[in-house]
Amino acid sequence: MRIPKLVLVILFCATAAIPFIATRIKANAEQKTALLSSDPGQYVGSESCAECHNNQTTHYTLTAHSKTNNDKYKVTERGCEACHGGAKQHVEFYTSAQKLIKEGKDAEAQALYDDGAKAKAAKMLSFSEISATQASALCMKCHENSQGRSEERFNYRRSEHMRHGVSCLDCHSSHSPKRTEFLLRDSEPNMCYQCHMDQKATFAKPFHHKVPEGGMKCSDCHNQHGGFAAKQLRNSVTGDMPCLKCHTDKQGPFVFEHAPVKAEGCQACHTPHGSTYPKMLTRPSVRLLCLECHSNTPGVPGEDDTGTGLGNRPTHNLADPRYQNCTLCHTDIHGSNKHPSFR
Amino acid sequence: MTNQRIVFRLIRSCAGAIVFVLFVATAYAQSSVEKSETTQQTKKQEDELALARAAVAKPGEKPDKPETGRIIGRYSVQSSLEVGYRFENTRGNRDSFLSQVNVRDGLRVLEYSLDSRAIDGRGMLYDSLRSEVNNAGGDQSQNFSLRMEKARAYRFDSHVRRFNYFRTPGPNFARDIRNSDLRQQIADYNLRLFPQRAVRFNLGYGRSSAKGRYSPDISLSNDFFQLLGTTRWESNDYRIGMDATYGGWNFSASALHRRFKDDPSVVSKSFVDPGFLNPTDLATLTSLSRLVPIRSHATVVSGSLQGNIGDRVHVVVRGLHDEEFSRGIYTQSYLGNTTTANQRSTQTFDADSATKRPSDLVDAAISFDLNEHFTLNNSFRYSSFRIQGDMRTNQTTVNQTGTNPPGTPSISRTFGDRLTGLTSFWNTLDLGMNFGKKFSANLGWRAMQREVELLGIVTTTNSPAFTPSLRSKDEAESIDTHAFVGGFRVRPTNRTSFIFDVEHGTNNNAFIRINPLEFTRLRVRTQIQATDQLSFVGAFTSIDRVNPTPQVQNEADTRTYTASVDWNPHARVWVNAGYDHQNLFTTANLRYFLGSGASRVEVLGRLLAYGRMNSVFTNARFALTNRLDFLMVYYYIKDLGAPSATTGTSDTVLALPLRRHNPEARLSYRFNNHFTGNVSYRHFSYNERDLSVLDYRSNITTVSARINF
Repeated sequence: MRIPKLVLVILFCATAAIPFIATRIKANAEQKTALLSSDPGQYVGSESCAECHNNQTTHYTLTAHSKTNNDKYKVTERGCEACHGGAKQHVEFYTSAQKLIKEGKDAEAQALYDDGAKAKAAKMLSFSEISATQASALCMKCHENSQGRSEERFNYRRSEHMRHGVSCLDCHSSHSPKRTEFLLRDSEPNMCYQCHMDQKATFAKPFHHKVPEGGMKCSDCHNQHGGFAAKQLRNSVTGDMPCLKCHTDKQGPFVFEHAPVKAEGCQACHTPHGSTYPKMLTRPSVRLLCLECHSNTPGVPGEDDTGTGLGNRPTHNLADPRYQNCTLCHTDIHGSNKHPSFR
Repeated sequence: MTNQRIVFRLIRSCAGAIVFVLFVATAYAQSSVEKSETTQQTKKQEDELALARAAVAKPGEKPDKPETGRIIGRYSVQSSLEVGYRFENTRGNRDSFLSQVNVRDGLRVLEYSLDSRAIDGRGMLYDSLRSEVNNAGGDQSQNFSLRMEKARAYRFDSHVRRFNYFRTPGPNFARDIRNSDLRQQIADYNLRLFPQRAVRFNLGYGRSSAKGRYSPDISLSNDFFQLLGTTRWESNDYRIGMDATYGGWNFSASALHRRFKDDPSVVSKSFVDPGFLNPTDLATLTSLSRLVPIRSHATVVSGSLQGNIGDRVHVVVRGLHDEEFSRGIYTQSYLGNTTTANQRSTQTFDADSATKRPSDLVDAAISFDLNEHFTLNNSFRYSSFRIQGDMRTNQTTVNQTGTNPPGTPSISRTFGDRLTGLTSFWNTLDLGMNFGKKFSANLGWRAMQREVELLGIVTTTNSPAFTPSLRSKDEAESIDTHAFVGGFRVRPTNRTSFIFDVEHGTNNNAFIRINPLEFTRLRVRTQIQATDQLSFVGAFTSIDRVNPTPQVQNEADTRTYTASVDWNPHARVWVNAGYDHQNLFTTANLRYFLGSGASRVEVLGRLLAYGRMNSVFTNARFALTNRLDFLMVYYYIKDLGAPSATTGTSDTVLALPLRRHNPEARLSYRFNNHFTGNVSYRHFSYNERDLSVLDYRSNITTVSARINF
């Protein structure tokens, strides 16, 4: 079996990179500073948080995160502290301050707050102070695995969103979501439109997938958390284009496949989001859409006119109305079980 | 060539600019890495002393109970129901309106929602339950969903969607003569057992089906007949899987079995002969029966592995194997009169086919955090399928002229054997750079190799015996793609964000000729949060695709400009408005024939396809009083079509200039916390510049009542 050059190059690079990576892992292991303490002794429980952060706790109790607040989870994975870190020092610091205030010693309390070293030690991790990458990494600590759906977020680190500094918190709000489902800041597609505004105009075209009507969501076809395919497209269950998730009748397999459908994808002829042309085609005229490929091209169809399986190039009289719509005869244009020319 | 030079210059300039910006920004970011924040997390620091005072003033106070609706047992329940009636009135081409909008008169459950949660987060049957219904009762798009879960015990998701499609043939049959009136339903049910535990099990069932009328056609004696048929297909998916987490690694395995059946049929004695298809041939069709059942099944197994090696290496591997098999039968018989005087023709046709498709997909990705700012990523995909099918057909035609005895049956048999194969390798290697809020960037290289193979043999004979012969190679293409990808995001201030992306690549070959040998995609996007109430988004996207091969000379250029503004001066007013301009231009060489027989002329021409689309969209909401709410939506699209330009005699200019208005207004009056009355009006106006027969104007009024309980 011939091994493609690309694979050989990749294998070579990967092999060469292993010693380098191993060295880097060892060298950097000690340098890494954890954002959250792993010492269970630093964790005091979310009840302490509620004493002061009443408002946040009120909202938090309504969210899915609140279910972590029980003894089925490790103390480092429970409630507020799972994200914000152990609160022992924080609670002690502020309890001391409150005690001073209770005793009417406001000036001493203020002095305590002004003590930079103590205040810094008591500071909880705030997501407003860390980068998008760090914030997302903290979320992924739980949501990349058992908390998540199968494989859904496995590729988040390499996603387009991650590359462009979009963190989990740009779409999700753990404290006060607009939508309780998935703690979303807004419903789809409005949330997506906040950045992808150009798609709002596309979905307003006369022929479009039913996203504005609520029949579909952006995330039905795109994996917002990152996928392996271009444009973060999802795959159908059979590993094909996501279009086949709903348009199952185009899946086949057919004896005579219209090869571009499977090799290039549906977008070779269709505009997936929306179009002013019927059937979301890329051209308003079917025959010209077909002729763009089936015109005087060596190999399409067939390397020459004697190609046995693909039929000859179109020689019809295009002045005759009956030949002006190719799919009138070539009815099974996505694939046929009885004719090589999809009739 | 001029365009090529421009593209090259553009790429060189962009690449140079990126490298320059990366260096400058990296140096800047290294020197002033600051604590950053995500875009939507900006907030003022709380006054700690005031916070402490407040806590002391209310010692031991527990959080207020949130607004949770009614309390039933240990659950809080919020629900709402909106029921209404739509009145639709359309003038002009109603079929065209139904093709695009498909809203009709009738009673609707416009919205229903139920949200129930355990007060303390832990319920006996479920912790949370949410159910939603939208547009039920006949709208083109209907939704039903139910999601319920109990932590560590189960999670159940179900989603049922119904779509009503209506496609009109229209007078311009070149667009599509085969109209259809289909109802499609897509249902998906997923049950996950023991979520949040180390070992999870997944069970799923999906059912997708469609049924309705459609209009196939048939050719008899060179005349065409539009038929009326019914179609019904359904697909049933059964899924089972397991996920596990062990030692920081995640494992996933799943299996799927799908059964699909398609039963289109035409059994009719009344036929439509659209005379314009062939006005000179006057064949008639007396009766026809066509059955085209297809049965297929697929078995898919997949597995994946994800985890970390040390603290800095993240690995994902995923594999999928799919075995599909399809069997199709086609039986047809018809009786009709041919164009030969007084000749009747009877034909029976049957076909039998079997196809199998094994396919494989492997994904592997690795990320290596070089340090806290730099990450090296590599994603690899291998995908392969071989679709192998064979078929045989039998066609028997008997002609009978006048009162003569039927003629000798003419028998034709076809044997076909076909293989369609694809093997592809993708690899993307990129370096991600992240310096907090201020700057992030990526530079990468994407490579792809694809091998497409088409083999086949089709033999037509009148002999009942078939001698197998070797398949001939119809086409074999090898396509190598190399692309440079890069981009960056800069946030000069907390309120401004600027994103730039570019991808430039080359293909050494094209499988379909509209595939480019060179392509460039460039995107610029900026977000400006001018004040807490006012924000702007601007975007520019440019896509150039060129295939300069002499026979093809295909070039496709797209430019899209978008600008929008969001204004939310206070809770009672919200306005979002935007403008989008899209300019499409495609040119390709065409070769076709005009005339027939001796007068046939070959035309070597050029296609010039244009789209010059202007779109305006506005959404605004005004809370006029505490009880009265006004919502206004307006969408306007205008395609200017082709510009005035000098074209060659063999050039074909293709454009569809049109205009579409879609204003909507909705007035809501809240009588009390439980009851709200709504009235909305929506107008659609569609006008094509060159052909008015598809134009329509439609008014849709909806009166509804919303009950919160």
